[in-house]
Amino acid sequence: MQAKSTFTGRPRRRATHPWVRASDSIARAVITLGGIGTIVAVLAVGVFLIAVAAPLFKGAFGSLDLVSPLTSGRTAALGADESGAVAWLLHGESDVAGGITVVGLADGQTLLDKPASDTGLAGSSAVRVPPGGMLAAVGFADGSFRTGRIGLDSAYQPAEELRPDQLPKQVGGAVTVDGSLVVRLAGDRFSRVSLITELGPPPTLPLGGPVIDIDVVSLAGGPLVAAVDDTGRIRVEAVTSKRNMLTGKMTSTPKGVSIEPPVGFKARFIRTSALGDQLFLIATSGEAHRYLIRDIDSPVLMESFDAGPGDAEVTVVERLFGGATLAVGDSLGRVRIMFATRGVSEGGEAADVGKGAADGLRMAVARTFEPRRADEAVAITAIAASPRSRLFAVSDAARGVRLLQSTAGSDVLEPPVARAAADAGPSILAARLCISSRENRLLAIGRGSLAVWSIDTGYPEISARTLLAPVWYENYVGASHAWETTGHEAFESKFGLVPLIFGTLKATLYSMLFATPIALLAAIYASQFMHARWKARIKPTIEMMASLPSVVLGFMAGLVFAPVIERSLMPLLAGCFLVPVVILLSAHLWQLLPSGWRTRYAGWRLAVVAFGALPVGIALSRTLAPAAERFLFGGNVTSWLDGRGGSGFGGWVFASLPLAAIAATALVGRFVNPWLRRVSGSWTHRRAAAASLLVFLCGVVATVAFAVAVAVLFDSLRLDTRGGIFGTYVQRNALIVAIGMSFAIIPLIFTIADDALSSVPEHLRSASLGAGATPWQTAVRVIVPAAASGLFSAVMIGLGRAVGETMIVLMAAGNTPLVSWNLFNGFQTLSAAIATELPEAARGSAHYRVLFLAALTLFAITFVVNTVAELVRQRFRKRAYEL
Amino acid sequence: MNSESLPRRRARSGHANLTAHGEPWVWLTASSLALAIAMIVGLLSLIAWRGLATFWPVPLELVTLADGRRVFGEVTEREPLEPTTAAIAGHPGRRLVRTGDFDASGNHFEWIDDTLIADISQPEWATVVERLDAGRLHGIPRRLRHGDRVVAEGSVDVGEAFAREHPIARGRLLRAVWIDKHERGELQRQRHAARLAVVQAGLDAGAGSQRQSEAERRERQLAGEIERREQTLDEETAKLRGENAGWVVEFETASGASVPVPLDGIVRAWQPNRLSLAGNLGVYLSRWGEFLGDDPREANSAGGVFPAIWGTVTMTLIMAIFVAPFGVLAALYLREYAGRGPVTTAVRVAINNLAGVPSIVYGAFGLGFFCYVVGAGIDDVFFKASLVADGQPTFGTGGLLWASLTLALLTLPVVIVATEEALSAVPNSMREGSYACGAGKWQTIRRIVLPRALPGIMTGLILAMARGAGEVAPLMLVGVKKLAVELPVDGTFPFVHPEREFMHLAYLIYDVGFQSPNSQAARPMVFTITFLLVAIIALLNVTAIWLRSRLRRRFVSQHF
Repeated sequence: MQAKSTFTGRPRRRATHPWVRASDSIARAVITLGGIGTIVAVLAVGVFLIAVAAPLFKGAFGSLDLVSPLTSGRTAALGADESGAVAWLLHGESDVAGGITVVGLADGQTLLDKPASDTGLAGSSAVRVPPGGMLAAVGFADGSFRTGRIGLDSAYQPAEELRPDQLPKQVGGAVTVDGSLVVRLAGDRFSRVSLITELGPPPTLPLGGPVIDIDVVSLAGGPLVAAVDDTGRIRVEAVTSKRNMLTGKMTSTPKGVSIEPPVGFKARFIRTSALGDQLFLIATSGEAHRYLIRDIDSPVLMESFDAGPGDAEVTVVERLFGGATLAVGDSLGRVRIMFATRGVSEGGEAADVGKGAADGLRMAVARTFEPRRADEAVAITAIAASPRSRLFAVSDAARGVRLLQSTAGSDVLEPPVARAAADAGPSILAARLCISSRENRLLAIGRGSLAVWSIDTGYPEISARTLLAPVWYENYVGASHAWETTGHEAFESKFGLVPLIFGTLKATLYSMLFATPIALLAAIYASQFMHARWKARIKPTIEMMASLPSVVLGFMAGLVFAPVIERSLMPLLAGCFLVPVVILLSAHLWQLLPSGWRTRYAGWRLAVVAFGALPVGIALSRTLAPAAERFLFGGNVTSWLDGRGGSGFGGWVFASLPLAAIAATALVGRFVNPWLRRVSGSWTHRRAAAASLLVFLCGVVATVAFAVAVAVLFDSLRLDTRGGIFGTYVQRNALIVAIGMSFAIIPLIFTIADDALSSVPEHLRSASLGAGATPWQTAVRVIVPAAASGLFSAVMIGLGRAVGETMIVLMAAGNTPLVSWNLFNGFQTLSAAIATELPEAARGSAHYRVLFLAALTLFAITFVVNTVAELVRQRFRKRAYEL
Repeated sequence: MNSESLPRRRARSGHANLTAHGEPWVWLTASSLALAIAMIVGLLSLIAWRGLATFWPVPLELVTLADGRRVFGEVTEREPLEPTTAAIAGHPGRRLVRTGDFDASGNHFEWIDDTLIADISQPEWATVVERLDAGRLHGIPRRLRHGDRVVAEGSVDVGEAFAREHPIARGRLLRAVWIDKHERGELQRQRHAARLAVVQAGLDAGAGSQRQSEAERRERQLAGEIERREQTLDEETAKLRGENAGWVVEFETASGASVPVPLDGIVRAWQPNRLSLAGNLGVYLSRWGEFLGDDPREANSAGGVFPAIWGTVTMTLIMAIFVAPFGVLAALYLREYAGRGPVTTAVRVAINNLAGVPSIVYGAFGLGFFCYVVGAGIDDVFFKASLVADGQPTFGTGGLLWASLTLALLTLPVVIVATEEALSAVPNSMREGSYACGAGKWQTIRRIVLPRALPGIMTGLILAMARGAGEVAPLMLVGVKKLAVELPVDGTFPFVHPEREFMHLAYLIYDVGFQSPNSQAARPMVFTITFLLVAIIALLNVTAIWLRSRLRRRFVSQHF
């Protein structure tokens, strides 16, 4: 490089040391790389949350693997093994009736054939194998029926025990070995699959005619089976086990009962609930009856309902996974989801069909799946429930197969039909359907062929609707917002985020209502009226409060304050109004002091408040609380809140007091003060102060009178605050959270607000004071407007903290996902749900991803709130420079 | 004086003058500040008072009730009733007595109405016995037995004999526990390692391969040796326990029943009613010693919190080790290297925002990314044997490393912002001076900028550590545990075990206070833990404040 002429005019004699150059570029590289890397890593948090939550909204996907012709005629039952690699078919027609064929789903090859003579199913007229297990019930043409096990049993198969030629080559392939099958699973593992057909003892009393429908559920004691014959007679049998208290021996006794159906009713379908406590009988016409069979010896008819309204005929009835929900398909192509529920829904999407019964339940249609197109209203031919979720498959006589989800009410998937299969016409119109245990395969058998799809259902139970809109869950009165992911109703997880979002907002709102005024007012005093030396001591103390761990605050709020506040709720409520009154009163009294004294002792105002007015106010509210409780709440505020006794009067007084106070202040400011100003021209200071005190006292009386008037008015209109912002008191509630959270928020808002107020340029303050304004006028008219955006940003940052706070709400909010504004009620927030449930959620499950969605929601809320705060603060900074 | 003689042209009216001062409003702002200060002072003093009082011996009262029943216990709370309620109830109040009689009554506490009390006495030899399990016992020592032989009879003699024999028996017990925990634990570890080696060989070279059979042979060989050594340990512990067996102290409880307590099952016993101030202090300090140095007992509601202190400190330090270099690098990049432009501003705003993102969100990220993605990946590559043999993930679950990393991520924005501020506080004139002297950029940063900014960086780091030490929500997701017997950093190779789950003081507050089966009895303990945690965090904060003021002084002195 050519040496440039330098500043001194001489060439540089010494070049930079190579090591300095090298270290310079190394440092640049390391810092740039490390810096950008770190920043990217921090920002990646949001990206990762999105990546985990996004698959929730991925659609379902299916591909047709195989269409294989069958020669055996009607198929009576269909099932698959656990991995979805092989299927079994029970023939129901021709010379092979009662025989079972096992088919490999990779290639459609027949792998095993078990003739009717071996299965013992010859002469069967109705077979039912509920999805997800091998428990089966078989009804025979002679009126007999049996329970048993039919299906494919899978067991782990060590590869070492087999010769290489006995191992299938491809994943999902199957080879017949010694009368059973070896199936290759993913990851070089194998399973041994054997065909099981076992039948139990005959019933204690068979039916008279051929069994036309049968159902079975597994109960603690043994299977419960219900069958109906072609004359409409019904028999229910169960095995009950009793443990002898002395010997500890189990004795099983079969029990049964014959049910006389109502006159003229001939059931075509019979279904029980999963708990075996309800029995549904449905005729083709749609006439249906519900029996309570909790006590098997005495079944009781609970109600009659119409399962297929209008001229539609019921063609298929299937019980969905979990509880007692029926999916009823009719001849017009509709599928209706119905269950017995308590009470009546208002404005649900479907009307009730039942008329109510002695057990307080009544059948209701939660949802109706209409046919895809109205002109294709053809009969539903088959419904198959998934063995692990509320997913089910439906086929109709024209369009083929659909996958539906009952909770979400969504059309999940219409698996594609290959051209060849479509050309084959009705071959794909399934008469039997099956969803494999892992929901990875869908099988359909029509007349003459077997169709197999690989399906990936995604997360059909999650959609924007199920997350945010009210959904009608089983056993719920109507469509409602619910969050329930564990517990006894886990078969239908309730992923409504609304209760959690509501809880988060409730916690934030009540905490901010409590904390913001205190923090902002405190910051105004600290920055404007306080001696710098005192402030230098007090500010770090309050900042210290900001670094208190939230678990400490949660512990103090939830376990120390909560019981105390529960005991002294009335003094606290009274204090909310009496303490400010006492403080304002003492301010007015202070005004009576001569002006010189007031100036001299202005610095002692804080001490007077802290050690005088505040304690007096608290003592006063303790003293007056019992009287107020008697007057307003009939003597006991807790039982008043619970809705026991008392009128709505007290609640309205409390609810309208703040508004009344604001109204009184405004009236005084608008009308009384200007008038006083006019007439007080020649008054002495003392006289003006006395007048002011008088006005204040009148204002207090007016406020109370106004509140009482409002309360009397609303109470006479039969309106009540209970059920709104007041309601049943529980120990851990929004009030406790607000108090606990204020310990975290007040210092945060205080610090930032104080910084903003203190950084208003000193010349503004000096100019204002110099122009004759009092310190108060300067503070309110000059300093606060100049710092307004800083104050706003302080509030926003406090808001951000309140939204995401976890430990305080976890320990003090009771964790009940309710949607109610009740100040004295518990709730659950997004953050608390994540903290308690995420460790237990299975990785990759819908629950796991929904919790990540909750985390993403929190992230987004705080990010937006903080960004707004930051932008405002930057504007504020710019403005502060301009001033 | 002069101005008063001049006629004022416009005087405010009396009332306007008054409203201009806005005295009532000023008083409202003052009361807000007073309330805020009262809240913090009240909270801190409550924590300090309850936390410090936990271990101070309280007199034992023998309360005889009107119906003849007797209750022996510490009065922990008195509740005077409201005058109106008291008139209805007919007595002035009630007291909460902590009875050391859980075995018989099933309660740790009992409310006693004042009117039902017939007599209260403070027997001199009333003894509080802290037992290894089954909680406390309140009673009067009657005799000390060794088998059937009565060694001492009567409270005074038993007291003397107890003072003589108890340390010996306790020493033997501690030795036996030490053997069980450490020496036997070491053998278990070796056996497990050998088992893992077999599985690993099977995975590497295939089942039935020569390597695996070799590993199996070694395992058998080791198993034999371990069995021999375990036998000697068994003999030793059996001997220690045998020597302790038969030593029993009999106490007479309030109901008059005689309760035998094995001598080595007594952690500590004291007679609060006859203790002098020095004696009280001795018990107090001894209980603090146990609290700070021992393992927890009885579902964390008694004993010590040493593992939690250790876990908190280790986790916070490891977090600091991660967060310091990366935070400083990012800040250096942003302040010294990145160009001034909208992108840099956007990044700065984003980082500022991330400081406000809820900690639980970082926890979810830590679990989803560190444990389930990175950890599972590490397990799959390096710890497959353990995954196959035990079905337990090694890194694929919460642990010290993931917890530290999660908190590091959580506190990174704080450190970046603080460091940036410290860097920008270094006057540009110093940088320019350095360049003018011919220094390179890196030389300037290393010799001029960083040393000046160091106190500010340290302040940020310490504040981050204070936040990290008190944060518990994300830790609940990424590796903190109710009870972790093995410390994350201990004397066994490789000394630091980043995959182990650990205990944490802040989590202990949640766990003991909220999920303990006997939360009322555990309450004093929670206060003590809270006090300890707040003290640690306050200490860190005070250090930061001190550093900040030192930094200011340094800059002030440099102004000329």
